[in-house]
Amino acid sequence: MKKDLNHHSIKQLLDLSTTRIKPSTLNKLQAARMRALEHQRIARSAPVLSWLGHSGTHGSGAHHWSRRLNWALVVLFVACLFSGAAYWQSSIAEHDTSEEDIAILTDDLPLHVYVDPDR
Amino acid sequence: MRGLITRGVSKLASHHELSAFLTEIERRAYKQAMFAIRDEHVALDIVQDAMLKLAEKYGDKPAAELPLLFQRILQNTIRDHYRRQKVRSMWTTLMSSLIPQHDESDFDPLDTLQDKDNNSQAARPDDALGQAQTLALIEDELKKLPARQREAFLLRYWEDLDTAETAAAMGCSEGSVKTHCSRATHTLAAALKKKGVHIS
Repeated sequence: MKKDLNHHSIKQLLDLSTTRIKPSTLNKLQAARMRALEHQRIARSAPVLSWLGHSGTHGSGAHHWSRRLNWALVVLFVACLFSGAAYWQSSIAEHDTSEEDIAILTDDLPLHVYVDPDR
Repeated sequence: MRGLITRGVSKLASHHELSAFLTEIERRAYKQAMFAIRDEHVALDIVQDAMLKLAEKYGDKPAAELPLLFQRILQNTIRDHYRRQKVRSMWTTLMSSLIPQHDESDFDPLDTLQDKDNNSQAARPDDALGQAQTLALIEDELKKLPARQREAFLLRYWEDLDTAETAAAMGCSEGSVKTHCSRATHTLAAALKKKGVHIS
């Protein structure tokens, strides 16, 4: 029996102990491993506009910030879209109003303005 | 740390990498669970649960993060088992005090963990090889260590985690890890010394 041990030799002995596990147990461990691998979580596909914030492979912290940047960009894009639509609507209304005003001032109102369409 | 563990690499684990990692770790994980639980079937269940949780929840993490995540999951799963046993034992005691007593005494699984005269350990190999004898001694003494000391000792000196990583896996401070490791080493050294084996 070995009389003098240190942490390294204890580790070697413990490693040796793993080679003496029963074959039936090893089979069960293998089955467990296969079951686990069937359930492996796969990284989700990149969110919209992710290419804008993407700068290679990140660690978890950088990846986290990249995802936040992507979401910020998406929110910004949607906000721009809405404000653009609102501006376009208001400019059309303003344009219609101003055309009528000019027509009134110049006595150039078309005939259909005087006709009541309900009659 | 061993094998796959390469510090600073943050590439996400592929199916192959996770498979290689689990293949590498499964035997040691089983032995760790056996030291703690001393029941082959429960130990297998615990390792299976830990593998499944790792794959399901962290299967898309970088390969370098897997060892620490797995150890944390494994230790938590072992602790959860202890807690469930404790609760079950508490209910059993409560129920047995409410219903008429039987002659046969209730079996409390936790007793096996605290019983100094525990006879549930595997028989020493008859081949009497020096290595096998020493290994059997170490395994016996490891089983007798308090759970947290054994956990710290195995993570530090078998899994090769450093103090900070061990602390992260155990969910405690680095100071606690040092204390647990020191106490475990002293207890093991004292126990083995009685049997003629010295730890330097």
